[in-house]
Amino acid sequence: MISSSFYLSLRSMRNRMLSSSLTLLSIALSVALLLGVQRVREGARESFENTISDTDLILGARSGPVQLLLFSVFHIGNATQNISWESYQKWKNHPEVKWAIPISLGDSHKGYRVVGTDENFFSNYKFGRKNQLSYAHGSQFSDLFHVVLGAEVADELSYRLGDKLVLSHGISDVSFQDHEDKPFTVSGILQKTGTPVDRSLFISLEGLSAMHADWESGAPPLPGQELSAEQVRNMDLTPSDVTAMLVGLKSKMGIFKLQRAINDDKEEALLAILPGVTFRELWATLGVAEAALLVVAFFVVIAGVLGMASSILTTLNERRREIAIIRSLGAKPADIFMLLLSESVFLGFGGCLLGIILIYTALWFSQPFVETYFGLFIPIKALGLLDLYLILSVFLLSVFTGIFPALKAYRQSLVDGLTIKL
Amino acid sequence: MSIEISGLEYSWHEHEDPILKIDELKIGPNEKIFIRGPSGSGKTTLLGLLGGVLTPQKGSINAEGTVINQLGGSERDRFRADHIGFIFQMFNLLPYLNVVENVSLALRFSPRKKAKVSTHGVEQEAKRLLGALGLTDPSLHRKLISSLSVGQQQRVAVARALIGSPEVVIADEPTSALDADTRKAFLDLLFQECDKAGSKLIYVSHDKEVGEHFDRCISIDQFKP
Repeated sequence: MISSSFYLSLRSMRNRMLSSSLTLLSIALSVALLLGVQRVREGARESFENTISDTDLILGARSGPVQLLLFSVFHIGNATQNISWESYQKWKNHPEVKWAIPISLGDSHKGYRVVGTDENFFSNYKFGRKNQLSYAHGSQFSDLFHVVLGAEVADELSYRLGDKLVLSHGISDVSFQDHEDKPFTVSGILQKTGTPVDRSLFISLEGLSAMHADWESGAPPLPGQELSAEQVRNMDLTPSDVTAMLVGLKSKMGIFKLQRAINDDKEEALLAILPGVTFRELWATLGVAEAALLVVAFFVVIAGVLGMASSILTTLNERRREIAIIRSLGAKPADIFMLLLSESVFLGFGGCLLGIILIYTALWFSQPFVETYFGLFIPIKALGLLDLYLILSVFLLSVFTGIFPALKAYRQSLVDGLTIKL
Repeated sequence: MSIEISGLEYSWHEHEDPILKIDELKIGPNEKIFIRGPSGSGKTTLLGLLGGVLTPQKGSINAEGTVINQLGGSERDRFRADHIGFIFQMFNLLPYLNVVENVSLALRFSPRKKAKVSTHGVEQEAKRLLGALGLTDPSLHRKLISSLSVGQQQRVAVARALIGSPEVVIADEPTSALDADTRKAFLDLLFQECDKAGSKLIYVSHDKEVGEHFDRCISIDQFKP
């Protein structure tokens, strides 16, 4: 009589409320941890892949794809070589190309990277689910010495519109070579994006050239050869090169053809990558840590389930009398097996259910906090197929582990029969 | 209907000498039989055989027209559920169920017993039996077992053994925890309710004095080989 076993098992567990609820909680917490790790994995992966969207190809001088992705999108590291202005113009004006965003790196401001670009950046750069950049304050640069700040830069350094700031040469945190003579004025501050854009400053390519107009092959001007900001305004400020370019195509069909054409460019050694492909390549290397996290979480689940089995086993001796009484009322040894197994079934099921409730509650409360402090947006969404598999496996694992105490009770009940042991 | 045991031999392990040997034992309908034996005398074995958790190597136990030692394990469990009510020495009851739930628990394993009380309803029948056994206070019915006195607990156990009117009630030292006065009152109640339910009573005890109240007294010694 399975219903009788379930009934008695529920009543018996209710009688041992404290120990049952602790066991339930330990399973629930392990399930919550497992699902939490899943959510963080997904969130991290998504926010990683959503750093840039709608860009079909990224171009740079020939190097490694991962390296190109790192400096062009994440502004990490440096390019060893640049793309010539001629190549930039050539591919920008290619009939297949809808838009191109130039990226010029090399300068910084208090540890934040300065990106030289043009108006295409503000109109065509997309992140997340094709979100466009928008302004919290002000607008894009309209003057040579205007700068647009990422949200975090403005926030951390407390800049407002109209503030003047001096950019530094090179990318070290402590730079001794400041472009003091040519300060930039904040013309706009971008909305928070949760991407490296937040940690960057944007100036025009011409502004970048202007800063370096009086520099000779990477060295600051000799005394007496400096050019003032006003003098520079009248010069030809067409840059000689850019570090990378982001390209959007008119038709997605042409991506591979154009990629091959760029990689085969006879005039200059270039590299074109598909951001999605390289993202996955990069993530595969980071994925080891992510998988390790999941493994650790699963070990916690195993510990929780074993704790449950051991707590059921310890009650078994105290319950010999109870089992003999139930047997005398006509319960089969199989009923005794079910009586003990159903305890694991309830604890496993309840633990999974409570774990789901716990993790959603925790996510709901911690989501803004995690986003603010770790820059990680963890979406609250329905359980995925993998989550369901994980939950199911926890449930099955607890039922499976519950077989052992149940089997012991079964054997015990055969030996004891109707003998009531104290 | 009656219980007939003949040519029975039981040993713990095969090829060992039997520890219990019953050539002939017949318990008629509505009979109340006292089987006297100190603990360790094979009482538990006899109860196990009657209850169908042990099977003899030889002989037969014919109860209510069924040779129970020829039944399979779960059929014997079913037979026990349907035809027998047990009362033990003490602590007969499940501590996590209340009084009425303990009494009606006997019906959960036996659709046959349940069908017998269906005209009145399970709870009504449990309360009626409890009332007949002197547990009339309705507030008592919802109480947990631990708040009851030993005497009250044993009467609840009787109610559980009698619900669904089984053909046989087997009692194993049910009065050993009771004092002499309560014991007499308890026995009277037990007899009276067994008669009402039409159950025969097999009462096992070491206490000779209790035996005086029975129609028939036998010693377990006669079943020793």
